[in-house]
Amino acid sequence: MNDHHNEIQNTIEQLRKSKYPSLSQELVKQILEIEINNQENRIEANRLISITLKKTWPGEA
Amino acid sequence: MLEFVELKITNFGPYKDTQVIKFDKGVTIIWGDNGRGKTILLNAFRYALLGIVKERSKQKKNNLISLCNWENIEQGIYEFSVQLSFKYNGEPYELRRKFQLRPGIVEPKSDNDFEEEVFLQKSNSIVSQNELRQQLTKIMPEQVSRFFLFDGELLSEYEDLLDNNRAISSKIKDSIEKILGVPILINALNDVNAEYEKINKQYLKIANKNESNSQIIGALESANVKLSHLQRSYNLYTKEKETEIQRKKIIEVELSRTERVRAQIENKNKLLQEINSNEERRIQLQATLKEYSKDAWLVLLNPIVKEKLLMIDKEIKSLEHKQYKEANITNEIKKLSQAIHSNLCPTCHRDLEEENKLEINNKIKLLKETVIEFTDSEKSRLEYLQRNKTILRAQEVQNIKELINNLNSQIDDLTVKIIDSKGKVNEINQSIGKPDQYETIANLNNDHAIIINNIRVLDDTITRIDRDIAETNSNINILTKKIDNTRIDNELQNILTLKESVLSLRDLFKDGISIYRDKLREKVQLDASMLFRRISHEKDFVDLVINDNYGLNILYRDGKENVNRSAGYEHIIAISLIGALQQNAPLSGPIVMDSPFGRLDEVHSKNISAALGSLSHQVILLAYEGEIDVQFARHTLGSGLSNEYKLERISGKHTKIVEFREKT
Repeated sequence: MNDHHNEIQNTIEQLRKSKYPSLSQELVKQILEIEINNQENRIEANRLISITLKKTWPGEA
Repeated sequence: MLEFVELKITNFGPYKDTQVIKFDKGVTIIWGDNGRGKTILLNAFRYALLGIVKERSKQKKNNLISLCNWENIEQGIYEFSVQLSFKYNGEPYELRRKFQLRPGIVEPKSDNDFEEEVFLQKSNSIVSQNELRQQLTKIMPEQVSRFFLFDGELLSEYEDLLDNNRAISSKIKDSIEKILGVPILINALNDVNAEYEKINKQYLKIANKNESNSQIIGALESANVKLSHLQRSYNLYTKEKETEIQRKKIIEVELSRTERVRAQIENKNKLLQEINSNEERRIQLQATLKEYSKDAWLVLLNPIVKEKLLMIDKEIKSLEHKQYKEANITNEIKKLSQAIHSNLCPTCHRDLEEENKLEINNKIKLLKETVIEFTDSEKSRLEYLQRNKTILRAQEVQNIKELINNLNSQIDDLTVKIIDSKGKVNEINQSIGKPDQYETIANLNNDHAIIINNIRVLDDTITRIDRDIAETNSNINILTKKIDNTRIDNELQNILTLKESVLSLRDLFKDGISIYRDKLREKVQLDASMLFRRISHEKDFVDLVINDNYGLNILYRDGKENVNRSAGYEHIIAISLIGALQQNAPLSGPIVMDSPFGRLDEVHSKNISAALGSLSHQVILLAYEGEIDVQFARHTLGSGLSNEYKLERISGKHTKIVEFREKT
């Protein structure tokens, strides 16, 4: 994670806090980390995001 | 961060056998005359990192054959290799690509006759062939390579960023957003959206389990299909509107350009009128001058005429004096004689006494004795002299010289004015360019009116669709609530919560993309402007302004945009953009520039040389010695200049890379 990735994280976090406070900070951070680390592998990014979202589904937990 | 350590090329283009260039942080200059292989060296980097080469000419097709060493080809040897050692995020890598003929091929006819071996070592472990491509794409994605490996001759394509209608502008825009990290957010949005669609389907499936919901679910599915159609239409028309707005902007720029042309044409007509009237006046003055010049020789007689006039004047004065004196005395005698004859005193008009008469007669006698007669010959002489004086005065041409000088000066002034006006007319003609400007202006006005109408129609359509979307969303909400009210079990409630969260996530990334893009554009504009001001020496250019495509325009001191920038300035803007992207990109790496000064004057070449160090942590410059001054580059870059190499000619087909200067 470099400065620019932090900048992306910070931009989204500020927006989350001000406009979407009910969204989980951790969830948003995780999604961005997946996208940052899998920029060249779209299938893997999509798979990991699907798993991450399912984990937040109370029925699946 | 990517950092080059060493490039080893073997039998690549004109580089025979194995030749090595080492790199440190800072600027490395590789000096080479035209034809020595600078562009091939740029291709060696491109080939190593991406496995491709880029030709300036679109004609060449068999790239690989042209990359084999040219002397070796004559001996039937067709193989070459490039080995690049670099550090990526601090870890050492070694990348080697080798091309050789496929078994059984003796003389290649196309690139298909070659086979490639690629080898990548990270730290001490060899990267598998499966991971190799992925690793290299991560280190240097081809899409953004144009910002690291660039050919000065091809910098003009950045001008296309200003034209939203060109395919290349959207391609470069995507590359810029890629280098700046925007796709991270776009991918997040797409992935979340894909999940939302899956969750929504799941939700409907669960809700449908309850038979009482089937009717509502049916209505809800239809509403969702309708919403999806409406959203697609909304996006389509919004995009179309954006395109029309961009077209409108372009036409408005063009119109402002033609407005200037219109003013220039008016100015030109005024100048042509001035030229005609000045030429007429000049012809008149030249005719007068010719007339005066006929008598100009008389100037030579002036001294003689002057002397003669003096003599005549003197004699005339003497004769006139004599004439005057004679007339006066005769008149006095006449008056006194009349007094005696009338017996009246001429002063008091009293009768004269005898004594008075005697006295007057004595005076008359005395006067008659003193009078000197002004003879007829003297009178004739006076008349003769006066005639001569008039004639000589006419011959006196002392003013002609002044008149001629004055006329010449007026003619010269008019000539200067005519030449000046003609020069201005020429400048205007060159600036206006094509003569069919009026027709172009009429077409532009017409197009502008059509586009404004299109935008209005699109606005109405978008507003209508937006209203339909709101209405459909409201229907969906009502239907959803009905489902919730009919049968709320845990499963349904859970998926509903998830669905709403994912919807919020989708909106978060959607808004985030727009905010992050605006931030980036602002930063790129700021950094590019700073670099531009450092390079440009035109004091009237104060800033660069960025458009939606990251295209940059020059802003004048008066706040207006420069719509007619030169090829040289195009170059400076491209370099400013590249520097600004490097400063703002998550991907940072060495910049390799081939002949970047081709279109620039000496001052700008020097300014760019001085700014090289701030473009990136590692800059590799391929240039010929005339492009920038060697001593100036060394002096300006100082300790920032880490290495210098020279491409030395061994033969027309063989270039040797030699160290040009000992490291300081």
